[in-house]
Amino acid sequence: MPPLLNLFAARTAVPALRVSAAAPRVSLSAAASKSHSALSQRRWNSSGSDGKKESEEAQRAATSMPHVSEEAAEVSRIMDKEKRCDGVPSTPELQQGTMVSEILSRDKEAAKHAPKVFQDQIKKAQSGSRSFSTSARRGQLEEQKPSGGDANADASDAAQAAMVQSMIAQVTEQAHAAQHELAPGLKFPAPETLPRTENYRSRYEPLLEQFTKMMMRDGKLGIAEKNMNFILDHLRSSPPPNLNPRRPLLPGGPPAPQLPLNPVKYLTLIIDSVAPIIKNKPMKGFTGGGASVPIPVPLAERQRRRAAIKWILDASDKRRDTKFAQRVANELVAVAEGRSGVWDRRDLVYKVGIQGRALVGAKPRTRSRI
Amino acid sequence: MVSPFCWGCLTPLRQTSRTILPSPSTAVSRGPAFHTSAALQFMGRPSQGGKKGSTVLKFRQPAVAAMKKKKKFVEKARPPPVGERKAIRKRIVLSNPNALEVEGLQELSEETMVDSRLRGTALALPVPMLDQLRAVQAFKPKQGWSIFRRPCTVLRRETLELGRFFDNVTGDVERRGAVIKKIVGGARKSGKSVHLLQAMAMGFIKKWVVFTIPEAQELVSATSSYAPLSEENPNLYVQNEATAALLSRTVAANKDVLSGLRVSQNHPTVPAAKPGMTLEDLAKTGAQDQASAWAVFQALWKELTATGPAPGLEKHYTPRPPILVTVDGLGHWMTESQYRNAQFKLIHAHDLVFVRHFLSLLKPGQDQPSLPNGGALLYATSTTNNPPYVYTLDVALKQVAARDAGVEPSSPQFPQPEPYSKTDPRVFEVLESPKSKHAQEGRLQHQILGGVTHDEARGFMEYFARSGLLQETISDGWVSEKWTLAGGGVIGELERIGKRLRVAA
Amino acid sequence: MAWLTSSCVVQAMQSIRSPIALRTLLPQRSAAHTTHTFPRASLSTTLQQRKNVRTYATEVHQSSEVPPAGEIDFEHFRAMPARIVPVSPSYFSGIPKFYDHLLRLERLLALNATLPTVPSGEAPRKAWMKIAQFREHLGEEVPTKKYMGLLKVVYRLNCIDPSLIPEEVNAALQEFVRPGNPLGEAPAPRQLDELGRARGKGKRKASNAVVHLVEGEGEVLVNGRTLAEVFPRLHDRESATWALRCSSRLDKYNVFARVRGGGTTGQAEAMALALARALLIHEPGLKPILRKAGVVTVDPRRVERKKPGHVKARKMPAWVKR
Repeated sequence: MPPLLNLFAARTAVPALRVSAAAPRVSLSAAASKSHSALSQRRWNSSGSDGKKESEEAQRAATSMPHVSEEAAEVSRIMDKEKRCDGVPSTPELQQGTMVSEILSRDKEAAKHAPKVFQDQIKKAQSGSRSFSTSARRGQLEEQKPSGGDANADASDAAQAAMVQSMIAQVTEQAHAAQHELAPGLKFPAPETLPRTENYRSRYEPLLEQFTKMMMRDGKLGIAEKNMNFILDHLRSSPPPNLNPRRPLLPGGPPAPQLPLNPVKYLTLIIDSVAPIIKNKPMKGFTGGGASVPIPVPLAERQRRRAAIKWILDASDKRRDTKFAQRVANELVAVAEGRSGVWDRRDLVYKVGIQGRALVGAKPRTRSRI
Repeated sequence: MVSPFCWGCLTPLRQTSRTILPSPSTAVSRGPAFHTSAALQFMGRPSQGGKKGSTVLKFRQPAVAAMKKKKKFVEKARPPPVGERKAIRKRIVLSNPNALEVEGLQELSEETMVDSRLRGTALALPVPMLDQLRAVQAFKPKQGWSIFRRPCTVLRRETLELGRFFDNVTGDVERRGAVIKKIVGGARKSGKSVHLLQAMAMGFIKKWVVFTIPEAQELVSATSSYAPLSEENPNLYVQNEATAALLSRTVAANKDVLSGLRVSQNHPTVPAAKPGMTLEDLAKTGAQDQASAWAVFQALWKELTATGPAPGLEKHYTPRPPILVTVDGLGHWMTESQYRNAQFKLIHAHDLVFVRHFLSLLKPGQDQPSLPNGGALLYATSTTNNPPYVYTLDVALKQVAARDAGVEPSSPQFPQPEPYSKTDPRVFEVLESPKSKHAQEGRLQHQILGGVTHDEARGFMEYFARSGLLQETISDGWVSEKWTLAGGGVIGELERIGKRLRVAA
Repeated sequence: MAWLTSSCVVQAMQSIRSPIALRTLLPQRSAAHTTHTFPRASLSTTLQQRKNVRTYATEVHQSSEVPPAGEIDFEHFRAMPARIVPVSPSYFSGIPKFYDHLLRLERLLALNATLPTVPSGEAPRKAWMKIAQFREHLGEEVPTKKYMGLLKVVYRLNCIDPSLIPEEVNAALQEFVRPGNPLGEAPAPRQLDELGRARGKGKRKASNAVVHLVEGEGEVLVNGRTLAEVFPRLHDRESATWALRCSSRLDKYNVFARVRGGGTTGQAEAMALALARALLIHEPGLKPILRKAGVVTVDPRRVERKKPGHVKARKMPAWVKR
């Protein structure tokens, strides 16, 4: 783990650096370059030199989490001891109250009737001159000013200011570089995480893979892939579908004219729209005489798609086009436009399913129970 | 109630009855007397195969009737009409209205084809030229034109070189009349045919006369008519049908140029060629009358390669434009054709005058360059459609490259065929072209198209993205990854990668 | 098989074990020691009675070249044994030395059964002797199953917490470690060669691949040809270079591969594995990513062999009535 530096940590790191670099105050450029070289050396030193340790410790103090026990104590204090009477953990605001000035700033009416001391304070704050300094750096410089008192001191101040500035620049740069610094064992930057499609075995869209493999005959995956590419190219170049309002595609997809520009989405939309959500499973034992009754059973997504693809492939066999991929592609467009018989097939499944829905969840009667 | 008979009483009775009974004439008892069960089964069997009396069982034949397999009735649509499959296979689609219009797309023109700043960008082919290109059958079905809004080609290094040559021959006075002769080779899908297409497009832009042979195989595959050339040359064969097709292609594509030129030479063999008629009309007569097609083609060629008028016909003469000749699939011309002679022997492709004419252009001309008005010969080989035996061509092309590089044929570095290999001396002979006497005439070269560079690949991929077909962020790393996957920037493979979809974007 | 249960044998033998152990060297092949013991109570009487009685088992046979047992020196007997009992309880089994080892280990286990153990995965890894080695070591034809039983005791003893394991147990276990202890030290991490090349091998299906990887600019040569020529299918080309692709390094290395055997899919995926292994030599830090991308995982599946009586590997001929 490389030392993670950021600007907040830099504030604590600067004094440590100044101690080492401020001593030879020769000239501005020399000092700057020296600090630069010292810093850069420190940055690439792998043997853990003292300077690095120092700065690391400083950063750890600034950024690292408190010790486990301290943290636990803190948590228990918040959760247990500072409960209100009703047992709800308190917040600092509830416990310590809101700042009056905050309330006053929100409530103008209350501010009018506030005590004189408060009103004076508010006015002071609005005037812009703070009673305290917000810049530690400026304060330090002013402190050092009277000690010199000459032109020489002025020059040294300027040099020091420049040096501190260059140090800050260095530290920021370092912090910036630390983020891009390579982990050990890497020569080039590497991705942190991999999306699912970057796995070697699942590089295709699940639907594409399922469709391709269902089209495969005799284990010839290459040919099936070629057919799939043909189908996608056909979807891409055929005119946008005229949607049938009676056979709508699933909502949420892009509008029809934009469908051909994304053939994979187009295909997914077609398949998912026509996919049945149930399957009618013939089961015995619900009626007498051993007759089987179709009972609707819900399907998972992959099963639904499988049913839809199978219907589409079956329907495409009855078409009269020149080649298989062409038939399937035409059938897909027909489904999108609501012309295909696949829709009727799905309606039939739903009809039968509605008839058998009374028996969903019932247990078949066993014959020999006395 | 005990029976009064015991078993002992009955036994002799049964025996006697058996002996006493007359032998019945039924089939049952015709079987062996000692064992009747098999005979029963035997007789009960239905006769096999309808043959009566042939009831002999085969060894281990199952004694039960075999179950008939149910034939699955599959409802199948009728096959498509005759010719439709081929029509679809050969169909060329040049536009996809769904693809996005690319903004700021430049067209191939006189300026852009020599502009090296545009290297690596896709240039659209001008719409009016598409008809001409279709007429000369420049497009092939599987070149992936069908998914873009309009046909575009990438301006790669070789294209720019070609563009500069076209520009020089037409514009530069010093280079006027220059001829280049190239045999275009390269790996599969490396863009050989598209290179020819780009040359044709430039030819049309520069108002050249363009002759194309889009499929060299069609001339040797014995699918069109042929006949001996004449009584004097019984071993040479003329293909009038193919020649007429070439003339009609040329007329359709070069109408503008040919209608501006007039017959200014004497053609004693072609009675239809009258002085002063346009070359377009001359070519049309050949296209319509197949019998005279070859003679008309020769007349047309004589007109186009003329450097001056015949005496007395000066008023019809205008300077002739340069000529571009492209041939795709040269390998088929380097072996025996499928035609047969009177002895039923295969005719060599070089004995077909059509083929012989275009191959003879590769040799340097005798008293004038083979294309006196300048021009280009671009003959492309193919890697996927080749006759079964093209070893000779491979060696001959290596020799061409060596000769072009300055290796003497006598030197040991000069490529030679394997000692015991079967080679065709006529191929070596036709591709052996010494340096021309004429300064303008270039030597035969073998140009090998490799992969495109990373920059050119990036331009090509950006064109995909701008057409809305590729929805990814195109960065240098991404492009160089695709460049590697395309086998080092082979442009046809890049095209396949560009249109491939793995995931929904 | 009750005698196999060593504890009862031990008990039985302890009852007859005597403090006096008189040893004599028997020239047996296995060089086992037998001890002649007898109950002390009957010593005086039996000694007197059998002073001059020769037992034929101890007689010297002049005729045979190699005596089956050495002569017992009765001069040095302080007491004449009533009968001679072997020192090892497993003397009369076929593989006495094996049972000696087993008994010793079981005794150790019984003694140390209460010591805390670590899970078997965290126990110190040692390469135990293989059955062939063990047989050679003992000079006995130990059945495989018996050796496996012994190894189970060894495994159990090895699982005793390493900080608490008694020295005795450690010494006993050390006897079963294969000479040289191959698992003792991990193999040295593989290095780039002097030309900066990394070499990786991979197998898949019937194919094997060797990949040489150098830093470069994205050239790939497979069997001296370009990627597109070798793998016409785009899927295979992607597979072959997946390790570089998923870590976005396809333009930073040059690949030189040699693939042999099998079909295109097998060759491409064998190359993917080889490439991933070569890349790990260059950049070991990529391992988590490559693992996630699935390219360092070996696919050990091979074609299942055809069996006699089957039509294919598993398919049986159709049932025919007679």
